Amino acid sequence: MKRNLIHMLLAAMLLSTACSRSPESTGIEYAPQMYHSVPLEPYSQTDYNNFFPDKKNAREPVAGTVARGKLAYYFPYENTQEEYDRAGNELRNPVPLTQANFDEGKRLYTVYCSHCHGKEGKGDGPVPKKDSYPAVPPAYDSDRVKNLKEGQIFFSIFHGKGTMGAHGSQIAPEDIWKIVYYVRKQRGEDLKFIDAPAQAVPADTTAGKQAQAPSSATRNMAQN
Amino acid sequence: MKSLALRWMFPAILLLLAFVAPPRASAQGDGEVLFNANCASCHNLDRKLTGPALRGVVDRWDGELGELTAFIKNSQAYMKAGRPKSAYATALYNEYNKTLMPAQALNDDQIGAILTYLKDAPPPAAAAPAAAPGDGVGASIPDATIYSSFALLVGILLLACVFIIFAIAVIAHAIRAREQGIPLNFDGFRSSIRAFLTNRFVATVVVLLLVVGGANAAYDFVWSVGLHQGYTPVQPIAYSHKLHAGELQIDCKYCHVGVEKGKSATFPSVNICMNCHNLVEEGPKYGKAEIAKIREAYESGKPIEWVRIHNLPDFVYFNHAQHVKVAGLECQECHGPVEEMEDMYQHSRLSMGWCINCHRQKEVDLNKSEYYQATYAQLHADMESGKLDKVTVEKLGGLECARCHY
Repeated sequence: MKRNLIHMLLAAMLLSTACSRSPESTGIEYAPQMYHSVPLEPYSQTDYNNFFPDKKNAREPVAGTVARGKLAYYFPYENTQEEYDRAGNELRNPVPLTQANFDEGKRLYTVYCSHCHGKEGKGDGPVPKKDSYPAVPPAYDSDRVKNLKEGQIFFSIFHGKGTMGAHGSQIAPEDIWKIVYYVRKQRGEDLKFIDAPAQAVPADTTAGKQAQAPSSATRNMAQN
Repeated sequence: MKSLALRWMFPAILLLLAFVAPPRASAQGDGEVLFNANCASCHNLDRKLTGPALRGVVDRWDGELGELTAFIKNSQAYMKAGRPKSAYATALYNEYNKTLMPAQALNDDQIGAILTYLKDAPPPAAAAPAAAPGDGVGASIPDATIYSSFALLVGILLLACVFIIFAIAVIAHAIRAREQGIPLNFDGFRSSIRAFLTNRFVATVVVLLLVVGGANAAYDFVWSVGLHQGYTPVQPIAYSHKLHAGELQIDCKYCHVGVEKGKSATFPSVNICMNCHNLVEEGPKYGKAEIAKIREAYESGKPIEWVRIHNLPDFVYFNHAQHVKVAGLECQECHGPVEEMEDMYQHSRLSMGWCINCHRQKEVDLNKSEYYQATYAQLHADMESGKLDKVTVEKLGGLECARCHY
C-alpha cells in the first residue's frame, strides 16, 4: 500500500514535469470560452471576420468621407509642391504657446522625431548614423529649414517630405502643432510664452508673423 | 648653455607644430561636410532617393560645370531659361515625380567642393555578403537544442544523486555488517537495503519529500493554467526589438501609437514601418528577406498577421492609456527589458495577483490632477492630518472587483 502510494506520487511528479510547455505555446487554459471574446475584438486572433471579403475586422473609411468627431484629422492639402506652399501661407498654429504645450511638444519630439533628427535637431539621431540608412536629415538651423513657415513644417510632418515618411497617421494634429513649436525653438527662434491657456486662438503667438485670421482649415485643427 | 637652448627652442617648436597641427580641412573634407548638410537628405552617392544618385553626376552633365552649378543654384529657373541642358533637367524633373529641387544658397566654391567630393568619394565598401535567408536562423540556437541540453543536465544530476545514494548505502551496509556480523556479500547488501527501505523513519522522510515535491509541482502546474508568462511565439516577420528599440533608440510610442490614447497599445500599421523601410532594404541579420515581407504587405495591402503575445482573458478590462498616460508607468515596468529582446516574449505573469500587488504598492500623487483633488477630499484630509503617510492605487478603489471585471 505504502509502496503504491510512493509510485503514484513519483508518477505524478514525472507527469507534471512532462507537461511543462514550450515557449511557443500558451499552455493550458481552463474554460477557454471565457478567455476569448465571442465578438471580434481589435487585435485578437480567434477568428477572421467572415462577413467581409478581405476577412479584415477593421474597416477603412469610405473614400472622401470624414468620420464624425474626426474633422480635426482631415487635412485639406494634397501632397504637392503647390499645396505645400499654400499650407505655408494659410496655416497658423492654433495651439496656444504656453509652457505646458511647449513641454509636451518637446516630449512628443523625443518620441516621434529625435531618433532621426537628433535630440537637438542637428540631424544626428541614431538611425541616420547607421550605415544602412542612406539619407541624412537637415539640421533645423540650416538655411533650408530656418525659413520654413509653420504651415510648411506641419505639412512636412503630416505628408512627409523628401525621404521622410508621412507621420499624419501616427501623430494627432494638435500634437503635430506642439512639435512645430519645439522645432521652431531648435532652429534658434526666441519663443514668447503666454501665461494662461486661452480658449480662442491668441492674436500674436507667431512673433509678428500672424497676418490674417486663421482659415477654416486651421479652426478644424484646433477643434481636436 | 641657456642662450643656446633659447635660440633653438623657437624654431624647434615651429617645426614641431608643423607636424602636429592638423592640416587645414581639405577640399574633399569640405565637400563631404557640405554634401551631408545640404544634399544628403534627398541624395545618396549610390542610391536613388528623392533625387538621383549623385556619383558621376558631372559626367552625366557632360562635364559642363557651369551649367550644373546654375542648375543647383536654382533648378526651376534653369529649366525655364532654355540653356544647353534645360531639356535634360526637365526630363530629370519629370522622371522624379516632378519633385522640385529647392534653390540652394551655395556659392560657386562650395558647389565646386561638393562636386569634387562627388568625383573623389571612395566607392562603397565591398558589402559584406548578405546572409542567406536561412543563415540567420542557423546562427541562433534552435529551441530543440536548448531542451535536449537541459534534459542532459537533469539526467547527469539524477545519475549523480543515484550514485551518491548507492555509495551511502554501501557504506551503511559495511558498518552494519561489522556490527551485526552479516556477510559482506551481495545477499547481505540486499538485506541491508531492504532493512533501510522498511525503516519507519526513512520511509516517512521519503514519503514526506515526495508529498512536498508533488504538492509543489502541482501548485506550480495549477498556477500556470491560463497564464502565458514566457510565451514567445514565432512571428511572421523576424522583427527585433533589440535592434529597433535598443540600438536605434526608437521610442516604443513611435510604433505603438495607441498606447497613450486608448485601451490597446496597437500594432503598427505597415505605413509606419515604411517610414524608414522605404529607404532601408537590408537588415544586419537576415539581409533583404525579412524586410521584403514588409514591402510586399505594403504594396499588396494584405495585413501582416502578427501573433499577439499579451492576451488577457476576455473577462478582464485593461486600458493602456490609464497606466501609461495617467499613471506615467514606463513600458518596461510590465513588459520587461524589451529593448534587449531579440524575440519578444511575455515578461510578467499578468495574473490577477500580479495586478493587485502593484495596485497595493504604487503610490499616487493626489496633486497631479484636479479630478483627484475634487473626488478624494477625504484622502487629502487624511494625508494632511498625518493619518495616512501615502496614497496607493488601492485607496482610490484599485482593488474593487468592478474596476476590471465588468
